[in-house]
Amino acid sequence: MRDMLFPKNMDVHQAPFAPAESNVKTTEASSNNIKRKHIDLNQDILMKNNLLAEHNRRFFEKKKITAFNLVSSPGSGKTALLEKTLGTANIILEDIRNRFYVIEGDQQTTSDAERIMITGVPVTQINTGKGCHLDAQMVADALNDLRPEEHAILFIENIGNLVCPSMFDLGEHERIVIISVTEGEDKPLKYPDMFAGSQLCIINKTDLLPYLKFDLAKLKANALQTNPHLEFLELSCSSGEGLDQWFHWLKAHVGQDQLV
Amino acid sequence: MHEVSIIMNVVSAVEDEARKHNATVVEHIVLEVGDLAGVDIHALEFAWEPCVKNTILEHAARSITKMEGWAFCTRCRCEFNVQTIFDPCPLCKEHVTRIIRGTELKIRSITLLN
Repeated sequence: MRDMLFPKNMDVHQAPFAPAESNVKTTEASSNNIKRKHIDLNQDILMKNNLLAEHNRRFFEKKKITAFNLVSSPGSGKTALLEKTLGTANIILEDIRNRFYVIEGDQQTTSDAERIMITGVPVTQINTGKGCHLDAQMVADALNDLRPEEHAILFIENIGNLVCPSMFDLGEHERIVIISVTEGEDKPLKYPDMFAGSQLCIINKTDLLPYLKFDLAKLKANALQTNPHLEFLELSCSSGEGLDQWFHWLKAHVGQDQLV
Repeated sequence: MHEVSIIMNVVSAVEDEARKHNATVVEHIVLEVGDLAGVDIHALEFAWEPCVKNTILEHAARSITKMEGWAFCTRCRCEFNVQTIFDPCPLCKEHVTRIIRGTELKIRSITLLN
């Protein structure tokens, strides 16, 4: 039986890249048999998650896996985009289709994982219960179940939420934010951290543009205010418009050493 | 809300540190929360007591230091106070800025009792 890839509740202080202890200042004082110890920790609250995310990142590097973190509001089309990307009708990605893996994240139900299962791609579902975001430990646990092979292309579909997932590094290579044209051009300004922390913004449901007063240029300008390096793709998962460009983007970002 | 997750991370980190020093009581904790850290201090205060109940932080006094957001304009070479990550430079009005302070989310210090 293979060893666990990731120990549960790993002690991050044992990680090779844990912060040095020497920057912790301690002063002690005693009175009435009570010892009082003041410790200048100066420690990032999310240190544990960040270290675990680095652990995930090194795992991906070692196994030459490219990992994408898909984030959006609920209903923007993350699962629909994956269905189109992973489906057998997709000729452009046929030669790399056997390397796709998916981690699905939702508060409840396995319905998204069931939609992915129909495509034949290996998938594992994380249910967070009341949790509003995925974190690095959850992804590490899911990787233990999924056991992606070398050169895998991994999609992590985060909880539908434009706020909390922005704070939690999962160890991904690229974060892709998906916004649909029914959501409003001011979304990037209302939720700046998500757009600032992403590398690609996919604008979905472009088939609905003729029926909406939606200013695509304004959306992009607002998003660029939060992140001047953000790339954009416009598409419709339901009509198929623009999907080819997404498939080509994906192929280009998987990396030359992955296209064996 | 993720403020609950943040507090649980604080509890976990403090428990780890207290264990190293054989301490079972935390008298005081000081947190630093930047204006641009994506954490609402009111929500943090609201969630604090229910989240730390039955943990080592249950009776600890807490101080939360708010850290102002500051950005640097790469064109004008000036630093300025910001309320959001996308505030433009007050001189050239452009968005060619880099955030230099205000994203802190830290446990600054703890006081343990043995």
